[in-house]
Amino acid sequence: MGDMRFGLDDDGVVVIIGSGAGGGTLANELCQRGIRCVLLEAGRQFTLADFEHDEFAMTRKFIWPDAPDNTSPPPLDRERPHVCKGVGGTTLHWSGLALRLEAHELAARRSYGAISGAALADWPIPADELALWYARAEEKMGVTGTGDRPLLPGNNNFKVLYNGGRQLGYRHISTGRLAINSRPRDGRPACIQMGFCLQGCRIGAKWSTLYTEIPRAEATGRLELRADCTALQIVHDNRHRVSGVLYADSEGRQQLQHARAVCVAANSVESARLLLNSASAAFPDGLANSSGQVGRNYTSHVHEFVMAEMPAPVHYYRGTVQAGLVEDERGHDPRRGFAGGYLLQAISFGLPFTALALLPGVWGPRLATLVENYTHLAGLVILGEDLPQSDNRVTLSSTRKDRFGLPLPGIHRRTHPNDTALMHHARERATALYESLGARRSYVAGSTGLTHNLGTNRMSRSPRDGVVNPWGQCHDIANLFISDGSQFPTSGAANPTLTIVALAMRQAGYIAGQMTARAI
Amino acid sequence: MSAETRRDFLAIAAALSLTPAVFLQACARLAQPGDVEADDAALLAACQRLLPLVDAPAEPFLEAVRQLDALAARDPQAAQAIAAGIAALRRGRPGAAPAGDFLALLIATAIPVLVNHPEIWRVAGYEGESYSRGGYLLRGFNDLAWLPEPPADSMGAVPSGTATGAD
Ligand SMILES: Cc1cc2nc3c(=O)[nH]c(=O)nc-3n(C[C@H](O)[C@H](O)[C@H](O)COP(=O)(O)OP(=O)(O)OC[C@H]3O[C@@H](n4cnc5c(N)ncnc54)[C@H](O)[C@@H]3O)c2cc1C
Ligand code: SF4
Repeated sequence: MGDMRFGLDDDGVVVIIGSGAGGGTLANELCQRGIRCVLLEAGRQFTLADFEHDEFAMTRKFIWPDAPDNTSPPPLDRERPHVCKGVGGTTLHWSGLALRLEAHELAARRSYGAISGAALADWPIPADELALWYARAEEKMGVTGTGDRPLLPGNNNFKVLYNGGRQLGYRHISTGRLAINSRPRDGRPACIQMGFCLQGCRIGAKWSTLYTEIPRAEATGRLELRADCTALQIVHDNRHRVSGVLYADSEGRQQLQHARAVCVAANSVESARLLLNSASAAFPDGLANSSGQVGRNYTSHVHEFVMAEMPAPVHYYRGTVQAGLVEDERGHDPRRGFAGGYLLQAISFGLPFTALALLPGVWGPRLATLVENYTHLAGLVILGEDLPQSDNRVTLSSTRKDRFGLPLPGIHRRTHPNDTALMHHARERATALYESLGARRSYVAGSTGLTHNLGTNRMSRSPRDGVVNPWGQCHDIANLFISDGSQFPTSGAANPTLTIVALAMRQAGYIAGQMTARAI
Repeated sequence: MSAETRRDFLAIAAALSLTPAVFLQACARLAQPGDVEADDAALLAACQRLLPLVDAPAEPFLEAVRQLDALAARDPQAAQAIAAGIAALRRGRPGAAPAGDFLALLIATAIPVLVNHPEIWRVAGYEGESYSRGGYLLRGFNDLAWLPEPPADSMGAVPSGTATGAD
């Protein structure tokens, strides 16, 4: 850990809230540019030795503990954000698939046309400009199958995905572009196919800000990481500029850190909640919310597991959790009866998570059959574009509070008919993929964990339509930035982290420029 | 029922390493209705019904009963649900299934214990923790041989000096 200390009244620092993909990356990028940063992280500091190969133990160790007040109709009322609390954020837990958004997804409104009930928008960033940042993010994270980095070898689960996919005529199947070292790189070893990527990579082969961005930022002597420190409120001065962050330190004492600028990267639900909890007389509806868009257009992904009992052993848990990718259904092809596309991603869990994910609440002979045939399972997760809906949103709970006395987030989501149509198509294809190889039985299971949380502080060109401009800078408050997936105008079909990292890198240059120009 | 007595009883059953079926037969012969043995037998039978494996080891089910016991000791509401559940089982037809709050409690408490137990993993063929053994790179991560090997442009090579694929 670094030993840099900044005073609470030092108003020259940039305060970053959250040390995950967005915040950890931004901290390093700003420090490399000579900017002094305080990184507030609600969770504790972990080391590699904390990562046990035990699914339940790690859930207890690093999953965000507070459940929001979920008022969605069933079955969505059982959902809750599934994110981490700890230095490194959800990059401790993530499975490493690092994919770009595609041109049609970055222009969802133009590509798909108007869709009733969907608040579609085009990304206000040119696709070719974003491509440059994607390349830099891939370089930073060491993404396989990009640059000169080889793909990972295929495990057994991949072999099933590949052969089944070929039976259906798919042509774009690979072990996928992963932020996991396929050979030693960047001071970290190559993957040894341990499995348990979701429990924290014990050898650091998988990219996480915990052991890449954050120590590098500390090495500049310009970062002070404050773990176990929860931001409670962002405070502002009379000129409608933010002036600091009120937080609870590890002893629960409230502290006010002054700041030249504040960047919020607490993962979408907590980021929107923090803006709403920072309401003041000058900003009665929450900070930076003159558009009324804070918390709205909360998207995740259409997300479902399809796992199948194959005629011969697979041992799908051996090796990387994310083990392969089918990209043939990714495009926008309205003949399928829905807008946007989806990916099929080989995935596996240990026996405990497999049982609870595939057969939640189920007991008796069906559970016994699953356990007895566990070695024969192959599996994938469907990941599809989730259309933004204005009333799918994060608000403040009117009844429940956290241990600091602040309202917990309320979440409310409904499924759009497009999501349902996409899911039916994907489910049919995924099941057929395994049946083509003689699957004896398949399991289709929704997920109650919202792993991808996006859109709640959406980006827009006009201050009327969104919360932040194309640089993640709040329309209403020039020195307040959003640096996580809550900026996304739409979800696309890809897992979001590469885009979050690319945007953070791009934003760092912009913030540095604004500071040099004394605009903030 | 005393948690103390129950623990002793379970410890004996565990030490004898009885399979639940044998254990239950013994209990049915010996137990008087309402005593600790009978309650434990009923609870054990209920846990076994949650996961009726053909070749069931004893210990995971005994552990599930211990966990339920511990829960009952610290949570009066759970204790009540368990007592009521056992009573209902006894009143019902032989072989009646657990239901209601009792079933919900079994699902929430006992199933996680069972599916996380190394002896259940052994039955399932799940190898679990791999860090101490160098991952699965040298232990069959790509040993599937009943399907054709995917082509080289779909995946990377296995690092040299380590496991080769099925071909
Ligand atoms: C099981 C799983 C698998 C995943 N796999 C993939 C994948 O393969 N590919 C992919 O692209 N994405 C994946 N993701 C998603 C990925 O983890 C997230 O997109 C990414 O981590 C989000 O980055 P972030 O910076 O927005 O938030 P996070 O990484 O979640 O970091 C937010 C941090 O903010 C902290 N925080 C929150 N509130 C406060 C506060 N008030 N004060 C101080 N700190 C606060 C939190 O403790 C946390 O550390 C996966 C997620 C899960 C759960
Ligand atoms: S499979 Fe590879 S990336 Fe995943 S935890 Fe193991 S070594 Fe790390």
